[in-house]
Amino acid sequence: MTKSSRGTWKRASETLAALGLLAGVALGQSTPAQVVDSLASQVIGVLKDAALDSDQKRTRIEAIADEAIDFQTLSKLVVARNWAKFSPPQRQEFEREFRRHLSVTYGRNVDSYKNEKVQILGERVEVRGDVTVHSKLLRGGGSEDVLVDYRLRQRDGQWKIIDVIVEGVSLVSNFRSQFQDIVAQGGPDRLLTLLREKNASGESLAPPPPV
Amino acid sequence: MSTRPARLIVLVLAAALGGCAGAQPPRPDDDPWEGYNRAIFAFNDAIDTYGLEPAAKGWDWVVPDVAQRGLSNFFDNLRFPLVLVNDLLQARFHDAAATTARFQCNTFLGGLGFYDLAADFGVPAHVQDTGLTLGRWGIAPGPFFMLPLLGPSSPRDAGGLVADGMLAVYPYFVTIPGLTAGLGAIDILNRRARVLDQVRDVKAASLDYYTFVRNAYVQRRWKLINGEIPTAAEQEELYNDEVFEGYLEEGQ
Repeated sequence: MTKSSRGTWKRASETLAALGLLAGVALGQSTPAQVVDSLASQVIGVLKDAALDSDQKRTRIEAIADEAIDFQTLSKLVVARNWAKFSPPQRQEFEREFRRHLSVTYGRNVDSYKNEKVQILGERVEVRGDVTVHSKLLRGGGSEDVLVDYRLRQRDGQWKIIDVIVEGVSLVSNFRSQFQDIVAQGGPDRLLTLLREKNASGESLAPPPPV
Repeated sequence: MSTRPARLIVLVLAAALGGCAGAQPPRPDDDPWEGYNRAIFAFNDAIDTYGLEPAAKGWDWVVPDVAQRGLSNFFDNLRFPLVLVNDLLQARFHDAAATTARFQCNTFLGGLGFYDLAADFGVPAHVQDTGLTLGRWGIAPGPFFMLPLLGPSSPRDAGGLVADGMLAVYPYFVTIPGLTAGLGAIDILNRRARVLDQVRDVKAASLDYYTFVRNAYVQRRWKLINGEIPTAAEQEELYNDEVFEGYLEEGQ
């Protein structure tokens, strides 16, 4: 394919994706920006709720995350080339343990909410029809604020998150780098064992002291 | 001023070590010096775990948040010459004007830089250092390179750090006993205290802390230099999940 025809195809596919967005709005489905916005406001709502204890907060946030994140695609993307080495049961176990890993590590922070807010800055249509939503985590202004991008892909008519990019660092790329070496050295079993151990130790850790 | 010849030496050094092909996409897994890097990383991590982190926790406990924020602004403001020189070297004149306005505003109206008034007026700080200048001039970073005490880097960015050191303000007051060392210690302690939670989370969230740091450093430097939008090829590499299907039986 020539360069210019590739450019045309790219533009055409981007236009189609943009039309898809419009169609989605017309049908009353959430746009990618709405998915991220609603995720943020629901999570902040739970974090602020003084009537909930830590465990209740964690459970609710997990349910919200399950709704917004496509763990199946995410798992495939982080394991990447090595996905072919995983048998179907290993794939299922990986998905489960990886989801638990994210929930254990990020769930530890439910009690340290310091009034952060999320501002949606805009969205960009990407190749493969994905959409990146730009947002800023407001933590008191200036250099303390954090830029967070969410990449979403449509699945069964719903936009779901397949990557989170914090200050330019993609979570998919980062986990892929880590998992690659482990699978190369010890195969899928080694990665699954490490994840299980990490999750078990994370869950037994006492929450950080409220200083 | 001795900065000109020094800068030249730094440039030649970085060019020699890093090669001159800046347009290659990031390869966060290329690590020819991994053995050395991991050893230095372990050393740095031990110093942090047993020295710096406990001290920063103490600092965080004693110094109120508003004072930490003020100190962080104060030290950022002292980076004015470094940021301005690199804005100019990159021909980013709009940034250079913003940098100058920020320095004047925050120094004279923001209490010697303790308050970031300019950010309130819609002129926020931007990330800037000599390594970025070299990168934007087309110099490739070279292999990932862990520096003792200073952390993740590359030959190019390490060269940049030398120039950054010369463009810093307070080391020039080294003749006043204790001032430079004292300010340096406060800067480091305060900076570490600002990221206590983040570092703890990263350690908890990573299966291999070293690889986490390497990947994050390479990705972030690349995006600072080449912009946030990944090329179509990078996006294919990261997000095409169809090529990962299929399952190989054992022994195949």
